[in-house]
Parts: sequence; C-alpha cells; structure tokens
Amino acid sequence: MKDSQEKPSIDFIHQSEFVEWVLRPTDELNQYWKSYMAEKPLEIGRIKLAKQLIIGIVPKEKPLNEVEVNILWSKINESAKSRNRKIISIRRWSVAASILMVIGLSGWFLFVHTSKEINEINYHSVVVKPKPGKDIKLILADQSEKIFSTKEVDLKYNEDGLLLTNSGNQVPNKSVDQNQLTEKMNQLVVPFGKKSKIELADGTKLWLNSGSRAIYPVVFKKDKREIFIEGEGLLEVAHDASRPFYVVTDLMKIKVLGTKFDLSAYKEDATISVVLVEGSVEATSGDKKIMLKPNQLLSYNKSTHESTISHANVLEYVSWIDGWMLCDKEKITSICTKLSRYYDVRIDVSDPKFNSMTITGKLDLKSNCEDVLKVICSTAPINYTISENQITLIIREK
Amino acid sequence: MADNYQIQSDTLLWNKFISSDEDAFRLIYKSHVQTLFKYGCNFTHDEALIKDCIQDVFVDLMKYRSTIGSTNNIRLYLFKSLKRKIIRSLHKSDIYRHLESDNFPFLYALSSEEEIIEDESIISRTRHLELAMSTLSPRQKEAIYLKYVSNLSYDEISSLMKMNYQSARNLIFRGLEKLRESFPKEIVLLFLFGKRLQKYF
Repeated sequence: MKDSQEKPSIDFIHQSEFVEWVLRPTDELNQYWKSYMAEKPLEIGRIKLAKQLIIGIVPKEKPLNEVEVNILWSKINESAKSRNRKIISIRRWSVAASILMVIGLSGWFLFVHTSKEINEINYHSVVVKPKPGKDIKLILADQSEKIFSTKEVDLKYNEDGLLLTNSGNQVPNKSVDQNQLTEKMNQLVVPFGKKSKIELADGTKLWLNSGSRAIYPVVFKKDKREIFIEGEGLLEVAHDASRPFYVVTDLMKIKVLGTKFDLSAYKEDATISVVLVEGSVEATSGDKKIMLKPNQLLSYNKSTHESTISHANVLEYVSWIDGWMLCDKEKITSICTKLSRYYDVRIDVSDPKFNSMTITGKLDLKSNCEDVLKVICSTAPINYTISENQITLIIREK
Repeated sequence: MADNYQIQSDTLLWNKFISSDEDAFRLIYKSHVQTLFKYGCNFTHDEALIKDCIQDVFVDLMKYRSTIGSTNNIRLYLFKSLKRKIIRSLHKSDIYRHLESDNFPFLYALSSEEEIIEDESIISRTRHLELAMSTLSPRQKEAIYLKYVSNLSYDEISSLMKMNYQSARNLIFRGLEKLRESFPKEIVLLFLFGKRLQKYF
C-alpha cells in the first residue's frame, strides 16, 4: 500500500491503516492498534482525537428501503425490455421480480357480518373505535391517546415493545410484564390526507395510507403474529418461519408465506382485492382458500362472495408510499376516489360520461390537490370548479 | 479497496453480465444500488431525480450490453456513469445552468436532526465539524466523501474526479487538516491531557 510509507509524525487521520481500523475494524487491526497504544501510551490522546474526527466525518445517510430498491429494480427491467422507454415506463408496470405483495381490501359496509370463524380475535371489541379526527392518532392499550399534528408519523417498536416516534420521543406502554404485553393492543389511526409508517416489534414494516387504521399487539406471541388493517397499507414482513404472519381484515384473512405485501381495505368500496408481487400468500374468505402468485390480483366481491384472479400491474399499488400515483388506463372516477382520500377533499364526478374516461400516467401526490387536478385537466377534456366544500369535475365540450 | 481479489471477481462478474447472465446483472445492481444512491444524495435533495438517474445507469448497461467494454472495477464504472447522468440532468435546471460542473455544490450533510444525542460534547464536536465542512470546496468535500465514506482508493478518486493521483491526495490531505484544525482548543486539550475527564468521551 502506498500509504504505509508515510512517516508516523503525520497525524493518524492521514494513515490508511488507522482510518481502516476506525471505520472497518478487523481483529488484526484491533490487535495492531492495541499493542501500538500499549507501546506508546502518550499517543492515546491523539489517537482518540483522530478517531473522533474520522467518525465525525461519516455522515448519517438514509439508504433506500427495501421496497424502493425493489421498485427501482422492476423499473430497470421493464425499461430495459422496451425500445420506447418513456411510454412503457408509464404504461406497463408489470413487475419482473420484486418482493412485494399488494392487497387491496375494500368495503366497510360488511362490518355488521364480520364472520367469527375468520377472525378469532374480534378486533372491533378489543379496541375502542376511534372518533373521527383530522390528526394521526395512536391509541395505547390503556386507551390513552397520543395525537400527532404532523402530516406523516414514523413509529418504531423495539423487541420489548418500547415505542419510539420520529421525534425521538419514547412512549412507554405502561405494563412491563412481558406476558401482558403480548395481549396489549395498540391502534394507529391515520385520517384522510395523512400517512404513516410503523415498524413493529418483530421488525415488520407497515406503511399506512390515508384513511386507514391498524391494530397490532405491542409484542407478538411466540407462535403466531397477527395484525388487523382497515384501509390501505404496504407491509414488509420480517422473516420468521416459527411464527407465521397473518393480516386480518373484515371478511378476509391473509397468511403471509413470502415477505412483503401491500394491503388496502377501505370501508366504502365494494370489492376486496389482493395483489402479490413476489413471494407467496394465502387468502382465506369464508371457507375458500386461494394461493396467489406474483403479479396476480385477487378481487373478492363482497355482495356476491365471488373471487376472480387477474393479472395486475404491481407498481400501481405500491407507488403511494413514495408519493406517486401510477395510473394505467384507470378510470377518472377511481382516481378521484383515491385523490379524495389522499387529500381529504370531496370530489364530485357524478357525470356518467366520466365512467368511460380513463387516464394513463404518473401523478405527483407531493404537490397539492389543485396542481394534481390541473395535470389531469391538461390531459383530458375536463374542467374543474372549486366550491366551499367540494371540487366538481365537468366535461369540457369540444 | 480494490485489491486483487476484487479486481478478479469484478472482471468475472462483468464478463458474466456481458454474456447475458441475468443473475450477474441482479448481483451488480444489488451490491451497488445503496452506495450509488447515497453518493447521488450529495448532488441534490431530489431523491426522485437520483432514482431516475440510477435507473438510467442500469438501463444503459442492459441496452449496450453487447457493445460495452470490459472493466475490472464495476463500482468505479457505476459511480462515473451516475455522476455524469446526475450532472447532466441538474444542468437542465435553472439554478445549475450557469455553473461549471466542477463547481456544483457537494452537499455532504453531516448530522441528522432526528438523532438523539445525549452527550453535549458530541453535539459541539459535530457542530464544529459541520461548520468546518462548509468551508471546504465542493471538490474537497467530494474527495473526502469518496475516500472515507465510499471507501474509494486514491486511484479511483483521481479517475472519477478527473485529476492526477497526487492532486487527489493533496486535496484530501488539506481538507482533513482543515477539519482537524476546526476542533476547538478545549476539546483537543481535554483529549491530550485530561486523563481524568476522558471517561466523558
């Protein structure tokens, strides 16, 4: 190595053996510097100082999360396959090999006949039903509430059920007794216009979209992990073969055999849908069990109780965590339903002509609602008006 | 460090990739995407732009796979390619239009505010370093970043930053000296003489 010729009088920070030891220590290097310090005790102060400097210049960088890595990989493959990158990257997002599963579950009106044989735990009786509000709300096991006024919340539970929020504050769950913690349920309620991320005690990550809530134990049981979701969420399930992971919603229970998936269960929709990107999941509704393959969309009609499986474009279902909405010939009405949830506004698209109108492209949800509407209106023959409490879309006559 | 083993395995991996081995391509992506993204974050806060550029880097690899040359240093190849793409797209924006690419700011953000730091002395040291860091030139910052964070060799740095070996060494040496001088005297003295106080560090 070229650096080894350096004289020892030069400060440690310029010596590569020293820097290597500080940043990437090995047994060998530890040994070397230990004996060096034993030989020259007067240098210890300088060594510590140099160490602080080197450690100090390494920035705290935020890496891409696994979902982002997989989405990017899918985009690369998709673009590489096509000659016309630009068009395809917007139009066809079928995913090559990503470890995601998307579940879209919808419909709340069936609340009344939540079937007991599916949900062993009745989540509606275990926890209080949240009162509607404008802020993200965390309801602890003792029913005390913590309100967040921010647009996004990032929660993390450690193995012992201790909770850390994005501001670094600790929220104690009152009981310290391990046996009791497995029975303690927390509930996170995300109103329309907001979103959140939770890292559960087992390391599983859950992103919750607007107008959603999740109920989960502070610490999972030894033999089984189970959470409840209403609304939409993307899940990255931590691997643990000894404890299968179940996601429960009204009318459906999903057993996760792979690693990641997204789930969306809105009360007002008529169908439940599950999309899998990679891995394997098993969806159970009633006495029917369905195994899903990657890129498949399972739609369950709540009134006829019929399930259909079709091919799906997975990125359309996961892009919301990055603040995008991808549309592939998606109906204006369905886009508006999503926008109204995301921005917490009322959008009127009652003109029947909208039923046949579709849009393909990418909407940036990081901009405000009006800007998004402007983009839509610039691509389709539509105008919009804003009144006091709602937005109305009107067909523009040629 | 680009030792012999690395060079050998990089050449092998690259050749596999060129001969249409999809696993090799996936491995290249998996092992470099995070360092590329972090490096990219130093040019702009626009994460979507960085992701798009990374996408372009890998799409180009696939596209030109049959005509692409050989390399024994995949990381350097990717870093160069990403930097070129980011700078090209930044050049299109108003803020950067009139800047020479060598004068592009290098962000190198040291501390994250969310972090909980209990030790007061760490806070003051981080602040001093941050302040000192802001007095370095963008190129000095980039060279230090590549050396200490990305773990590139001087050879690789000089190639990526289009300068000769000795200039790269000097750039980093002077930069580090400047940072070292930024440590306030009382902290230095404490380290050197304050045996009794050392437990606080």
